[in-house]
Amino acid sequence: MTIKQLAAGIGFAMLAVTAVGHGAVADDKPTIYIIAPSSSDDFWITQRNGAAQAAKDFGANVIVQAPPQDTGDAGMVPLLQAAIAAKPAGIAIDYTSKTMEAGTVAALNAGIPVVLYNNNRFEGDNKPSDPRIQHLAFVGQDESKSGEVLTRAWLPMLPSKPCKVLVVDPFPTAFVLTLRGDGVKRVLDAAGYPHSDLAATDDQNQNLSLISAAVQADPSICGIAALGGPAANPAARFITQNKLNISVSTFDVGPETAEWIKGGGIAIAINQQPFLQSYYAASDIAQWVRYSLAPVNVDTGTSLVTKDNVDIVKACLDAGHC
Amino acid sequence: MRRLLSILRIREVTPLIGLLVVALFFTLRTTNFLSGMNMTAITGIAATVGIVAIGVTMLMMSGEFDLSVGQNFAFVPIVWAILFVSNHVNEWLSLLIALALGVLVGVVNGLVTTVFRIPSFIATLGMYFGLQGMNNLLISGHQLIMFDASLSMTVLGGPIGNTPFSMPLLWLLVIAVIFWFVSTRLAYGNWTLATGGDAGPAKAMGVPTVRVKRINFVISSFLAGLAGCMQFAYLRGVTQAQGDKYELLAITAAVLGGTSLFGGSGTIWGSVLGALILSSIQIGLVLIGVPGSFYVTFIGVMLVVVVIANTRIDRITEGTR
Amino acid sequence: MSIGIVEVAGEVAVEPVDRTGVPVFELDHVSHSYGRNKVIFDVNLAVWPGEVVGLVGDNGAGKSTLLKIFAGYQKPTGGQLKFMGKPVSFKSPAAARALGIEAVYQDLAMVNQLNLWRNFYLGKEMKKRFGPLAVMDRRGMRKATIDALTELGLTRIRSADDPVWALSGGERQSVAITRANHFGAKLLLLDEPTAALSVRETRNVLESIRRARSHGLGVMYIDHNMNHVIPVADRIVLLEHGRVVRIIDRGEVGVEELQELIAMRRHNPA
Repeated sequence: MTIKQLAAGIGFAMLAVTAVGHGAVADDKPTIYIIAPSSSDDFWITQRNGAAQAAKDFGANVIVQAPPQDTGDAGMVPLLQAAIAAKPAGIAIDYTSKTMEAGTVAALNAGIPVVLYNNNRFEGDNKPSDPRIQHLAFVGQDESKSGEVLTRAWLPMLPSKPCKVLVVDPFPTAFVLTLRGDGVKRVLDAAGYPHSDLAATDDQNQNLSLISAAVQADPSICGIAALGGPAANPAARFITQNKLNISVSTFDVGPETAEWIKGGGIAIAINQQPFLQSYYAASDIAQWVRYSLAPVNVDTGTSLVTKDNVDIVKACLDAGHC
Repeated sequence: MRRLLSILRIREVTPLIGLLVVALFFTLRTTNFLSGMNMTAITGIAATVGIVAIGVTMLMMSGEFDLSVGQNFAFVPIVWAILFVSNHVNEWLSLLIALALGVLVGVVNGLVTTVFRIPSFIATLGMYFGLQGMNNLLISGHQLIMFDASLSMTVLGGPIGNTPFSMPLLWLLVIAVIFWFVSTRLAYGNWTLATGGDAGPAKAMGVPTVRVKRINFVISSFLAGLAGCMQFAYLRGVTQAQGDKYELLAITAAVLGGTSLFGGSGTIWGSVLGALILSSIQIGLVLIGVPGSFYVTFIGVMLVVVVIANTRIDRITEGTR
Repeated sequence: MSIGIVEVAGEVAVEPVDRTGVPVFELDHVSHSYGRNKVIFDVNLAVWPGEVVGLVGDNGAGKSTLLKIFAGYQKPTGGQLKFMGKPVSFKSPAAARALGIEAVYQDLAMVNQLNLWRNFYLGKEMKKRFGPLAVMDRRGMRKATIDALTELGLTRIRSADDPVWALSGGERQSVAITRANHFGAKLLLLDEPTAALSVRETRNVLESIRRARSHGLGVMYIDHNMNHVIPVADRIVLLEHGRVVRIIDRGEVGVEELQELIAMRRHNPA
């Protein structure tokens, strides 16, 4: 059997299992759909775990629908339409841009309760035409506010005399990372720390070399604000190997990032707790069905991780909750 | 003049000049382009891209493409890491199994292309998606890490003594020498160029063109997988994103090195130089403080210019014969 | 349409073919059908070493099919092939090649991108030992290529490293014929070797054919231009509707007579 056949076989088997799982929904439990943009990274796997736990805790069928590859907004639209057609008790939508508006309005018009989670992008061109959308409950973190929270907690770890901070973006095309960077820079600006940008890649090896070059280009750099793991991990590696006195902060905590925090290569990270995003979004809908309670806003981006509490986070990671 | 032109006909000369120009430019514009730390940075990228590009060059010389190398670059080390990091199988046995699976990818690419006679562009694009899905199935976005380097990891990706360089660079040189020898000193190299140049006459003269292509598909996949394992050993961690877009970087390095997109010509050292040019520019632009996203634009423009220049040089040198 | 007669040097002093020995290749009552469509009927034909046989006839007379049977591309549906007197049956062109039957096609003669010596030795590279490996003897191949091509009279060629794209169609075929000669082919098959060639190039190709003949090769070729057949061929085989209707010895007919013969048969089929 070739790999292709093997892959196709496994893929088909998974499809079949998913289909059977859906077919089995014949009881009177409320069905809640969660529409996600991806199923292929740590963050979204943890989201799924949160959804599964919510299903158990609240006695609901929670179905996470995500495109097989990260295709952005476009991949979520057909899944959202399919969810509306299924007439569920409620839908949680990752409102990544105005692209999601038509589907969201369709759900509201069909009388289906909607909770937004992970993203509620309303700024600029994304401003919804339907006023109902802006008043929907939101579960997640405000990326730019998280940038501020993180950087305010990080500032005392930097030299007190303002020095240069390198802001490294591993996905220059992703808007959420731009928002994170904006939050970081607002706090740096206010504290008088100059900063410069480095557009990096999702390949850690290239980032290792890029960060090395950027640090050489400007020896006054005393801090690296990484906007995600693929930037933070090589940054930590570089400063550790070369015994440099540069502090690193980052967003999201994966296994390698946790190791670096423990070893001191990364000073601080903010964890947006994806598990809680789908968990509380599903909870919002479940309480609406059960008790007619209106969904509430939850800010999940409150978890700062340093050497002091990293062991707790590591255990949380191992359990699939972080 | 004639002697100058005949030097230009040596395929490695143009990329060598290119690399020297790039290095000279950045050396003059920055104070630390030639620093040890910067050599680490440049060779850190060029080594693995270069090894992938060598396999891709052999395949391109025989007139085919491999778009699956970037995914294979993640697939093979993921299998290796799953076996020996997560399941504690013997590290060497795991490496052997992982590399064998990488070879299998090349076998499938070669068979699909030659048996069904479809463009390798399509066959390997299919494999690209197939492997992407497979990688997703295997680690679904997780990261596999092994901070305590084992013996095999040290051999593949450890530092070289007290130099600023790491093992992948040494492997790049070893692999380049091997495939330089294969492509220029063995009859197989002649067959590879003939197959890519014009398969009809090559076949008529008794060259087993189909077998040559299949073997080169395997070489391409094997080297991509091996380079991926080196990167894992070097970084001590692997994600699905490892090797993202390397299929295009490898083709770009090969083309910068003078390999023809239509098959029938190309050199191994040219591709190694091409990889060095790519990483020197990527790093150099950061050193002089140009916005990083400018790199891809720069590479795009340079790629087109180099292909035009190579075509012109071919025409000029032909005229002197 | 008549093109001026191509002069071929040494036309007067042609040694007669010795047909006392074993023919290099022989068709014994060979017939061939594509499905129900019979295209070759009971053909008996032999080519002796050092003999040039011209295959002529109208379009669709079966010339190409006959050549393909010789080259191993087609397995005849009836009759027997004999190579050097022994019955043979070819599974593939490669099997025919292995015995020394070399077919040269204009568009398949050379790989453009490779230089001369690589083309000359392609598939039959000269090797030498390098430790445990058999590596290409590049120097040996360069020298032998230059020697062979100098003998051929391709004086424009300066170095064995010159790429072949600079060669004309005729020069390529001449090189390909020289190559077959060089590698000890016994029978050379050419499909319209002079089509679309200039007068000078045609002369070179025909000269290469004569040189192959003088080395003792059997040569069989198809040509539409009688001016290119009469001066070179020892025997001319006239095919019509898959049958050999006449075998003409050297000097038996002139160009115009032969053209008339073909035309006549076209208008009054036997």
